[in-house]
Amino acid sequence: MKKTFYIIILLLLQGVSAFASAVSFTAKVSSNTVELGQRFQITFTVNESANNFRPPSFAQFGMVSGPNQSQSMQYVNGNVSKHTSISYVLQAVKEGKFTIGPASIVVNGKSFETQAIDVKVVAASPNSANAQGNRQNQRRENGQQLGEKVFIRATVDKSNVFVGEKVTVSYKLYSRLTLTGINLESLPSLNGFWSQDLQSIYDQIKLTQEQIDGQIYQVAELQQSILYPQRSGELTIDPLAIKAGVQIKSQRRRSAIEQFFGGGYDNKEVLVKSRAIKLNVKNLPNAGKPTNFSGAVGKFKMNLKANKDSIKANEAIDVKVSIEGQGNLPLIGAPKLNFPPDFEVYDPETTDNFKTTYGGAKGTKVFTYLVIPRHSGKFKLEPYEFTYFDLDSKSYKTIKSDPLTITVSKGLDQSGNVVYSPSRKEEVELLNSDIRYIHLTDLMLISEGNQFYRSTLFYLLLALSFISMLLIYVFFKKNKAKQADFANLRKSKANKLVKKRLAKANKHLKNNDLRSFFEEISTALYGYFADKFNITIAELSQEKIIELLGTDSSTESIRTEVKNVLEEAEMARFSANSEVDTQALYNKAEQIISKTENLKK
Amino acid sequence: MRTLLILFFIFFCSATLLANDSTDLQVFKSANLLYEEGDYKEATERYQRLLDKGYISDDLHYNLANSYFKTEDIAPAILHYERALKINPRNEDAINNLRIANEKTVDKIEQVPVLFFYRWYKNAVNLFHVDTWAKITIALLFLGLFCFTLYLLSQTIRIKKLAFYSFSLALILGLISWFMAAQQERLLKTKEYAIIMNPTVTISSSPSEGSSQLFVLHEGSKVKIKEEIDEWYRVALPNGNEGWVEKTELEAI
Repeated sequence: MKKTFYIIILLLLQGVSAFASAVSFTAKVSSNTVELGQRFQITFTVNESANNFRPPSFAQFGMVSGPNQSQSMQYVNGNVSKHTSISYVLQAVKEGKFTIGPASIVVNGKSFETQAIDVKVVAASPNSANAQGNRQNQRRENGQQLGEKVFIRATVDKSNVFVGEKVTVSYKLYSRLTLTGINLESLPSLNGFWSQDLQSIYDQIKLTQEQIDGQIYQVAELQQSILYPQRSGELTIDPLAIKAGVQIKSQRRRSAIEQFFGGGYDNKEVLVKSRAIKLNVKNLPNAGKPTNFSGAVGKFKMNLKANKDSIKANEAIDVKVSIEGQGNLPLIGAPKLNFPPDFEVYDPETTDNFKTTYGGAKGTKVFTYLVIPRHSGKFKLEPYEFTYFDLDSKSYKTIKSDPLTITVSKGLDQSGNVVYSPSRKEEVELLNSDIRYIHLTDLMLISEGNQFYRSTLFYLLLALSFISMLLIYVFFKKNKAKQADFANLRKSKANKLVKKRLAKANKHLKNNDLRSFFEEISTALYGYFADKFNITIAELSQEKIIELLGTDSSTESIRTEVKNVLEEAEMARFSANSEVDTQALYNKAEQIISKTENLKK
Repeated sequence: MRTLLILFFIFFCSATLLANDSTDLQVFKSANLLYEEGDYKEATERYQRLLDKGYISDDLHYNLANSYFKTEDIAPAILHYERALKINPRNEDAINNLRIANEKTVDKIEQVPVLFFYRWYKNAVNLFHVDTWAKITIALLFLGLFCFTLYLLSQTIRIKKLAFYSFSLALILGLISWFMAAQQERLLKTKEYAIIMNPTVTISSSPSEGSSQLFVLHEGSKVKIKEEIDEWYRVALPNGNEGWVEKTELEAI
């Protein structure tokens, strides 16, 4: 509302030709000193087209009306000057010295301010129509009698209501005395209600006549309000109090002349109060209460609409929810629409287009959401469910809107990066750098079906390697076993063979062929050990035999004997030395063999 | 070391590697030429045709991604860079270009570094292509076979010892590389990640139409696939956000 008002001002002011003349922006009050309860006017005047008018705070005063705007035009020496004034009617509600702060306005981009104004609020003077201290006692005495003649009747259309259901309360002043004036003493504080006046006490009061119990009363409709209880329980509508100015017959004696001129009556101030009214406010039933119920009570229709269904990214779109009907319309808050998370959604603008009637507020309330989709795509707006409590059927009703589909095509500027996170400098540099060139090398195109791993060939080779290992092992084992058999055979034959050879040596000895004897002895021993250790004679030497016999102490004697016998035999063989004890050598050789035989077992 | 191994087993390579048709190679070359001339659309088509034939090549994916990038199709570009890297994780150019492409996406998602031992494991598995691993396996097993034979036949203790150790090592390494081949194949086959392909994709709280919307992702974002139900994937972002998304909205790498 306020916004629209400013816009109107702006438009009006724009029409004024802005001649380069001194801008004057002033504030004036009708009176710098006011009595408590008295109304006064404050006027701000500007002589140029201006905008952005910001009024000061009037918190210390009661606001009666305003802002009221008026314009005047002047022609001075062919120059047009246009004055625009904005005024407020205020009422002094507290005694003391108050300062009304400066108002500001923008003219041609420059800001102007008015001077602050001091307003002094003094106590009401005795001769005013207000409280008359010296007569208070007297009035109290008369109160009893006057109460029958002057009273306020407060009525409600219903006393048993639901939370959010409208109640009409009206205050009427009944008087059998002539009314001379009405001054508000206190308005009912409507705790627990949201109210809207159909008729305010500040409005022009119409007087009618009514007959009650044969008496004629002057009736003044003081106030009529629509109330919406905000909570359950017993709520009280506080009394309305006024001071009614009445004419009562003067008690002092007066002259006929006085009577003739309408005298003989005293003007009196009477404090009149209405009775407090108790309302029984019921909670809305919990049964069947939808979770998304937001407190709308009455009878409504709702629809959801978008002004476009296909736009480009980063363009604005209006989504409107309009609620039409009768009920507590002013109390209906902005609906929560589920926009896709990618939409930029601004706070809805509310347009009220309803009248307050006796039946409650009637009309439409429109919530307009300005929405900017930031990315392309096809978006589905979930249907909006509006729930209200229907007073006729005493049940909740839900209206579901049609789902909206909005197609967003790629906008001109899709650089959404900026919105989400400002790129670091390093990244910006990266953005500017180009991608690397394609690979031109001849492809080694591998077909999916041509994979080597798990191919038959792979498994074949795998199997081959393992089987080969196994086969080689088995073959080797068998071969070894065969060799071992051969060795055993040689071993077992070794004894026999050596005995044969020794016997042959013995024969040579007997024939006294010493050379052959020594040769045979050494051949016998070498042959024996070759068989024993399963190696060829060529590989065998005296050292080899000793080595193969090992280093054990058990073979110590054999080793020394082998060494002695072989050396002796060798020496004797080549030197043909006959001094050698041939029989002893023979015996030694036999001994070695028997010892080795024993050892091996 | 790697080249040595490859040279060593050239026998296996020749049997399987060069299975490409000469005409397909011609298509590849013509696509490269088109790219050079700036006809990225046609180049894209030809690369795609080769891929449809079932060829596996990081270079092919890389070139295709480049042409997508040039036509400002960021999401498929990222998809194919990722696929190129899946085949060959050490394709430097793909790593570089993917980084540039990622700068063009809307969502800035910080990739959480993976645990170091998982990274090591992955690096190890990705050291070679699955077929290379398989060839190494075969080679090592035959080396093992040779060493085993040597061990059995040798008479000298020293050689016997050396042959035995070599055999054991070759056998163990062969089995490891077999395992690596299996892991590589698993990595290639499993669809661990996916790229959002549509401009704006809403992630829902459950795999059904009309479930509440959790968050929105835009084309080119990489998500982890956690679960699959009918036409839906459960996806996760590195920051822990999870939700369901229809399969048509994204493409598994």
